[in-house]
Amino acid sequence: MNWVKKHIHFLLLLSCFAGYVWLYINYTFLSNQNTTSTICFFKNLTHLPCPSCGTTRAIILLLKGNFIGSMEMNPLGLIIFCVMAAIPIIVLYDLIKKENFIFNFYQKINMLFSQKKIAIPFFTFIIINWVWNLYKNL
Amino acid sequence: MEAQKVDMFIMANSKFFESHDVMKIREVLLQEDDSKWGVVQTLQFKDPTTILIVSLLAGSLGIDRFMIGDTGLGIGKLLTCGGLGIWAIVDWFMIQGATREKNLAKLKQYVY
Repeated sequence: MNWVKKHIHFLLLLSCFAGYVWLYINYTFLSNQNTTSTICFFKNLTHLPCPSCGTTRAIILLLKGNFIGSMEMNPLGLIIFCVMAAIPIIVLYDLIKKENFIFNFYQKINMLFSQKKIAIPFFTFIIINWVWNLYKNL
Repeated sequence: MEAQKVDMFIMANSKFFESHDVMKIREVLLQEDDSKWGVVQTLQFKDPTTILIVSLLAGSLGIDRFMIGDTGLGIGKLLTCGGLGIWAIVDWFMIQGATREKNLAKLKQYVY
C-alpha cells in the first residue's frame, strides 16, 4: 500500500500515457478499418469479448463526435474518456498544491464500493453491459 | 500470550505472511494480552496461492484485486482490460506480495 501511495502519480501518468499512445496508434493507423487490433488477454484466449472490449472503438467514435455510436459500442468508453482526460489535470493539481488528492480519492472509492448498495448496482451494470457485448459480438 | 499458543499460530499461518514479518509477528503476539487469543486464532486470511491462480485466470477482469480488497484497483483493472494486458501480467508477480501485505494489515487491525 505504501508503495502505491508513494508512486501513485507516476504510475497513473505512465498508464495514462500508455493509454494515449494506444489510442493514437489506433486512431491514426487503424481508424479507416472497422475493427481495431486487440491485445485483450481474455479475448485472445476465449474469442469472447470481455466487459471492457470496445472501449477503444467507443473513445475513437467519441473523438469523431459520434456520441450515440460510442454509447452503442460500449458505454464504459465515456467513463474511461473522462478519467483519461481528468488524470493529467489532477496530477498537476496535486504537484502544484503538494497534496495527495488522488490517494484520498482512491481510498474514498474503496470505502464507497465496500458498501453493498453501491457495489451491487455497479456490478449489475457491468454484467448487463458484458451480456450486451456478448450479444453484439464486439 | 503463551509461547506455545503463539508458535502454534505461527506454524499454521506463516504462509500467509512475508517471511521477514513472521518473527516480528511472533514477538508482538508474545507481548500481547491473553484475551486477544480468541480473535487472533479465528482470523481468516487470504491464501496467496489461491489469489495467484485467480490472477492467472481472471486477472484481466481484476477479480484478484477485488478478492484481496483493493476495490479501487480492481475497478481500474476491469475497465481497462487489465491495464492493456500489461498490468495483468505485472500483477501475476505482484499479487502474492500484495496478498501477504493485506493479511498483515488485517492482523494489525486486531493486534497492534
